[in-house]
Amino acid sequence: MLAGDDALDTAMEVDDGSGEISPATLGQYYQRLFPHELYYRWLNYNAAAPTTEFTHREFSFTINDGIYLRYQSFRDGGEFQRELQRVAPSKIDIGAIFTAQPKHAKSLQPGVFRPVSKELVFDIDMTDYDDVRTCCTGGTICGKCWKFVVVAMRVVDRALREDFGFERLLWVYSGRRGVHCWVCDERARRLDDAGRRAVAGYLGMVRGGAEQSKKVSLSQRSSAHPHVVRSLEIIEEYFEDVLLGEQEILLTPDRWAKVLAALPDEELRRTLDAQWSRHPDRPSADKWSEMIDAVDKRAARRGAKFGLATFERDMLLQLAYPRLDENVTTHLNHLLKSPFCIHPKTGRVCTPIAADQFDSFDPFSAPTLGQLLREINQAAAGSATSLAPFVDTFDRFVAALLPAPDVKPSQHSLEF
Amino acid sequence: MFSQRAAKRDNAAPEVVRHSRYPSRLSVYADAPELEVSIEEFETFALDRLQVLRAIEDAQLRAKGDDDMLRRVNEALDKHLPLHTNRSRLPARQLMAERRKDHVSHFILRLAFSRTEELRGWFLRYECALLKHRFREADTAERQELLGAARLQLAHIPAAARDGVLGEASGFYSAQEPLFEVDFERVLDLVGRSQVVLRAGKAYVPQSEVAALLAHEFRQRLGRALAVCAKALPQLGEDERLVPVLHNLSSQTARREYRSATAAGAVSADSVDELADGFPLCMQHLHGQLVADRHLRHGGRMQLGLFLKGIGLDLQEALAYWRRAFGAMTDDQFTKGYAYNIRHNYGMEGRRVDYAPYSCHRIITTNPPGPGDHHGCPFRHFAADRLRTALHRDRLADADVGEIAGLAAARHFQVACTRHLEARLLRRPAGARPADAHPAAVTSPNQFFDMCTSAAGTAHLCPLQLSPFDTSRPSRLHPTRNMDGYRGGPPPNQQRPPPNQQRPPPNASGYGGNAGYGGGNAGYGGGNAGYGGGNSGYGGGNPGGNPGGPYGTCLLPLAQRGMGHTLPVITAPTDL
Repeated sequence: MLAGDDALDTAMEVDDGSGEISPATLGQYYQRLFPHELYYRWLNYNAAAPTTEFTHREFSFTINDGIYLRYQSFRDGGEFQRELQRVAPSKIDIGAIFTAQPKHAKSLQPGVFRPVSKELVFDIDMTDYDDVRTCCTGGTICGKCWKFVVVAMRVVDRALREDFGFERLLWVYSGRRGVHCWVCDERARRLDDAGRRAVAGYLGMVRGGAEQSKKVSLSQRSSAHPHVVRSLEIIEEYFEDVLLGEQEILLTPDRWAKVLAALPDEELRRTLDAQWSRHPDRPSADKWSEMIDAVDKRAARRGAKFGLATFERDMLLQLAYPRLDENVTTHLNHLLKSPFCIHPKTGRVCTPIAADQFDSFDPFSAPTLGQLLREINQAAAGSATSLAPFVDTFDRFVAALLPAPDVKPSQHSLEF
Repeated sequence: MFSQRAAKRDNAAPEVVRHSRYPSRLSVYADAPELEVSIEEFETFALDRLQVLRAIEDAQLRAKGDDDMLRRVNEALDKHLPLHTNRSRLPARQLMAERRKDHVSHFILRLAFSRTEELRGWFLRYECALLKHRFREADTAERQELLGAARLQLAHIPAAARDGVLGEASGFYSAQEPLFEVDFERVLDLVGRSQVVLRAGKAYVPQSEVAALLAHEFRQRLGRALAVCAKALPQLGEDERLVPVLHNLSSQTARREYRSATAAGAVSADSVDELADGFPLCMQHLHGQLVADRHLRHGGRMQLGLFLKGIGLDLQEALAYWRRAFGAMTDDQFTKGYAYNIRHNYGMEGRRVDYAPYSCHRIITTNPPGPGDHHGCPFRHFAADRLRTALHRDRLADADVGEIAGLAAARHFQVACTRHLEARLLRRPAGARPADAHPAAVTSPNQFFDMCTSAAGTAHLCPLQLSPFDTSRPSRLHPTRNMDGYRGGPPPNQQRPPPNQQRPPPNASGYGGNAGYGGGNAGYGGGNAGYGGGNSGYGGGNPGGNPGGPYGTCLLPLAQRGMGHTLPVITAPTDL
């Protein structure tokens, strides 16, 4: 398994910025812009000398034709930097920390070479919202549908901090249509697959494939769970403006059919459909309140059965609750695209997002490779590029990390 | 030896039980048995416990709710591994015998299942489930004993401190129920199902869910013990009586995976579309979506891709097929984004594993589809109305659609699929219909396809075949026993019209004449159909075929390995 659909489901549109990616421009990026020192300090967890956190970590470099060079590993930050500049990969993926140096993987018995730890990671990808967003599909995003990502970041960030007690959360724009979260607390890094599955299960709420119209059905008890209550509060802040207003999820017959399909009452479905078909152009907000009123009335008559009483709450969650790619989270041995690499399709840098900037972060502000190279070529030497604020965010994050506990004596010095 | 002592005090009072080797009914198996076990018992005990663990596995897959789950597991326990309480007034000898069997069988299976990571995982999962089940069914005193034996560390949250710790969230629990604070890692199962409130990494576990903590502790310890056991296992290689028995035991749980006999290259990229009529519903759906969208997401590509490989699409044809199916993209996009994974599936990239098509069990229980995904099992993952629509589209009669949708709603997913196959076979004109249109339970989409297409040509359904690894090899000790379930008919390889000579003999007990779902729960077998019937001969203690072999006393070399276990001693049956 290589990576989630983020890497493999290349949709069919062409993004700008990819034309400026070449081995030469990537080489320049890794020579002059990539924050090597901070990057090494992050993955070496601030220890003075290289630890197994770094030396036993798998990196995967993708070179021009989509060829994955897996199981790369490095003695220290210096070696990593030299190799990165030499290979100039179009993509860097980060894997797990293993029982031995991954570059020796082939010469080891499968039982001996095992993954032991990794950051707990989350992947939120806009393509998973294709059945609710109306502005874009596939690989494209815009300012409107980005708000789904904002909701997702806020919900997941609070749950990870308040419920699980994690503090070292690195949010990263994936460069195109989503975000990643790297939970770097030691306790999170030590979780085994079962632990990761449990966290993913706790955070996952929208379940069911394309052939399951109702994707959230909470019991009365689950809906009283503090995580659900808090998430609903966050969703409610956005629901009217984003889903009803900007997305107009009930504007056309196609759109409202998808919402009505989740209604557990055939008669109600038909009545509302007929009613809306007569005046199809009314705004979604009106239709939504009609629907909720009708459901409430029906629920009062039919009692709590048939899921009518909980319909509104379930639908808020179904439409706006974070959709996580669980496969990325649950497997210790899953690769995830590294922060600060260049997205091969858009040419944008995968930039960190500060936790206090979820609402203000604009994915289109993430600089592209071409833009950065123009900046350094035109500006006076030493002046900051538009990458600088993102490096600052990363710097603050890395500075707060605790040193790794398993510092091992090593003769390799730090050279940058 | 206690057993002899106990044997002499027939109708002993509970007093005797209290001072015996097994004062408590339930155990966390902290110590290995110090008893003599005959080879005969060695195998019967272990097989009986296996039946129970399999029954749990089976129940988890298809029980309709908590009550049904409890009923199914209790049934299996009563039959194979009864464990009566101290209050049961049964003779102490019987209580001791039951507890000894429970104890010994657990340790034998530890040995048998420590061999590989996969087996260890299986054993761990169902031993934990068994312990949780017994804890739930136990009375208060027994629960206390068990919790005491497991020495759980629990921090009780006093009622007064509750609101301070949890705030409004304390309303999630009933006010009377005692709460315990533990690290969330100790109750992962409860966390994953959002059954506990979390605050800063601590989980608040109500009294009623303490079983989860017990299971966690047990799991950790058993996991460690199995790892140690695995290291010691090579030592057993010297004992030629035990190794085959242990091997046989563990191989019987490994899921029987269907291997299609079709040779690679039997199907070309051009013929896939025509063959889709014979696909099971899941593959028909994926194929239809692929044609309609000219794209499939990762889960769907894997499920359909490996299925097509199984029906005989070789690598070159697969690349051609998928390239054409993804017609909207450029060659470059296809090569970079997809060709690698297709080659990977055929063992040409990465770890170079020649991946097998997914079984129904895997499709049903792992990687459920998310938004936008079309993979999964339609009987499991479709909304009821979508399933009906899909079945109607396959031109099924209303009555069949109703019955199949009903089976799916009752969580008999594979049975529903088998009924679907049956309905397809029966609607054929009489000449093209197989003589026996009651196929064996579907356990793999490829099996469905083979049955559907071979039935079209020959008028005969071949019995389900099993992969060589999984065929319950006849026990060294009782070479005839695994054949028990084979029901008559001509000797397998010669007289059937086998599409392929390599098929192993259909010793799949229980599969042979399995008309399926009609009868009791054994018939619902799906993936497990072979389990129930096949071993029925074991329990009775029939000495069966005895291949001889040196029966003397032997030691399992465990304690020597520093495993903290004392040695089960195995004696010849004549010593009993």
